[in-house]
Amino acid sequence: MSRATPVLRLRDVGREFDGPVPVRAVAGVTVDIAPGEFVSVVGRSGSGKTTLLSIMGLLDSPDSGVLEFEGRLVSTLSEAERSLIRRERIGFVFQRFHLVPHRTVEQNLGLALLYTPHRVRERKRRVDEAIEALGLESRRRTDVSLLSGGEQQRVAMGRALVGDVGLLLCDEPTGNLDSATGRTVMETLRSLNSRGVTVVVVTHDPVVAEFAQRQLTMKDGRLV
Amino acid sequence: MAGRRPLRIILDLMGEAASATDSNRLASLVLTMGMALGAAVFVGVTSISTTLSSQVSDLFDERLATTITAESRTSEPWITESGLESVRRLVGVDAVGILGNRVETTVGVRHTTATRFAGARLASPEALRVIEPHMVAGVAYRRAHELVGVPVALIPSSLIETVGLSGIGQQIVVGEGRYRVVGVFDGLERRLDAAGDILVIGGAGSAARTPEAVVIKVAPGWGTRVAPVVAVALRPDDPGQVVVSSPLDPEDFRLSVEESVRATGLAVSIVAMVVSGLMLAVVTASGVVSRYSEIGMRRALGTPRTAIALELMIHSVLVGLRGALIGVSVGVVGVTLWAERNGHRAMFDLAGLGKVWLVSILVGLVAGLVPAVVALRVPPVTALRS
Ligand SMILES: Nc1ncnc2c1ncn2[C@@H]1O[C@H](COP(=O)(O)OP(=O)(O)O)[C@@H](O)[C@H]1O
Ligand SMILES: [Mg+2]
Repeated sequence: MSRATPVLRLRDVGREFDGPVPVRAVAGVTVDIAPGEFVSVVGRSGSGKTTLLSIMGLLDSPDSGVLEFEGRLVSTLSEAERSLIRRERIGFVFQRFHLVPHRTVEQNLGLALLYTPHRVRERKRRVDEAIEALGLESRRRTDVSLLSGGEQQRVAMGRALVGDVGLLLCDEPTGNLDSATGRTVMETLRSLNSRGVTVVVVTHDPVVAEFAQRQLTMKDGRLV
Repeated sequence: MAGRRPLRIILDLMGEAASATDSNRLASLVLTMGMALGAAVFVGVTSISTTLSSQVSDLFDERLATTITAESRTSEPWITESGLESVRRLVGVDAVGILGNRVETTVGVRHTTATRFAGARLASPEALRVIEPHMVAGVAYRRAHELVGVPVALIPSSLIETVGLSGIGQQIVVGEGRYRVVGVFDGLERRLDAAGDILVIGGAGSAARTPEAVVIKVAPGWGTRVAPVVAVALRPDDPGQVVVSSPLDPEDFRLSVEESVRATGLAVSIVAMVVSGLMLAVVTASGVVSRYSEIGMRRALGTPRTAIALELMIHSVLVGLRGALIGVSVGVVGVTLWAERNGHRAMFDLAGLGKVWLVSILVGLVAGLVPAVVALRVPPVTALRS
């Protein structure tokens, strides 16, 4: 029986960092992330969550095991091809938002559409749509550095929305927010997921992890 | 981005490079000012030197090139009326006169006045048409004076107090002779070396018997043709006795002046451009560090690293060009005002203006190289690790 190709397929994936004492940040991780899933990865600080997320997002390469993205073997892809996949298929939401300061909400959303084949009109339509979906209409031309943390995180999620990505990877998206704001961010992620976006959220907060359909727990670089 | 619409990519590059200008305000400001300073100095110096050298050339053309002076090698009387007449008839000659050498002599309103000294020269009436005094009072010369045979004097305005002159028409004593002052002048069109001397016309005073020069005014452009034949015209019997100071070739003179002025200007502006280029490089290099996490985020979002590097290069060139635009505007306005104040006609070195743009692009490229190379090395994972 052929199930849909997983978005991510990890087989015995490991990542070790050099140093005075080498660190096995991720070890022997085997997991499939299916299209449309909402997965959380919980674990204490230093358990390897961020490292795992960066591997899933093609930001870093595993040094052992097999990683497939939408059925393609990632180790055979060039950096340019991985860039292209990130640009068109993957969105990121970071703990520290990572918006470009001194630019407006619109401009920050537009960043996600740079170097895509979409025409100006189509880009504008997508940006308008995202702004509306995130309830940022009154902030459209506001410098993002003037926004509240919750608003900034919504802009960051909007970046994924305009790119029409299939996979959204979030590293501690509520880490810099109070719990009420964190809750609305998680609700936004849930609504994105209900539109068909596959979501993986890394967090050390069990309450946040509750929003996911499936919870993975990490300890010392391994899934337990 | 290979194989995608190239125009789309170029527009994205330019747009992103242009908006990056505003994301780093302080850096752009310092950068812009540095470039502006360099460009302004460049334009200022090259234009001022161009304006000045054209001024010098104009002076040269108007004064030196239309003046010929002939002198004798001996102290014997050597000027004949027929000789002067021959020169007067030469094509291109406007006026011919006799101008005495400068003698230091006593001057005053009366013999009894406490003795004061000033330079004086004998001038023939026609010599005034050659040297053309710039009169500030009275007249240079009237035929009536010659007919009546009244010896007259023209006084440089700088000597009014020395002489004790109280008005036009007053009698003064120069050496042994008495002269009626008919005019005051504050400069000469030709033979500027005589501009500070009293000019006496007529009479047989002591100033009259000094060695003399024949001064000739020629039409513009005729100097080099008239000069070679002056000696023969003046003294067909003994042309070798006559020394003619012929004007330089105007073209040679202009070139030599322009060359020296421009060489100085170029040195100054090159220093200015290099200094602002260094400033530019330092500031952009420090700017890229502050944008490290932004670049990491862009890489995470999938912007190709070559695109980011190009954005930074284009950004740097745009900032350089903006600075150059400001600098050129300031330079042009500054030179125009300066020229206006000094009564010059502002002239701009167009080739130099072209070079400013070229240099600002080059400096922008060089300054953008460092951040671009740094950006190429920012790993995408930086976004998750800052
Ligand atoms: N670039 C790196 N170089 C060396 N060690 C690293 C690097 N990145 C992460 N580590 C180490 O790997 C381990 C896992 O880190 P991380 O993935 O950030 O965990 P978490 O996100 O769960 O806190 C930690 O011990 C961390 O110090
Ligand atoms: Mg982490």
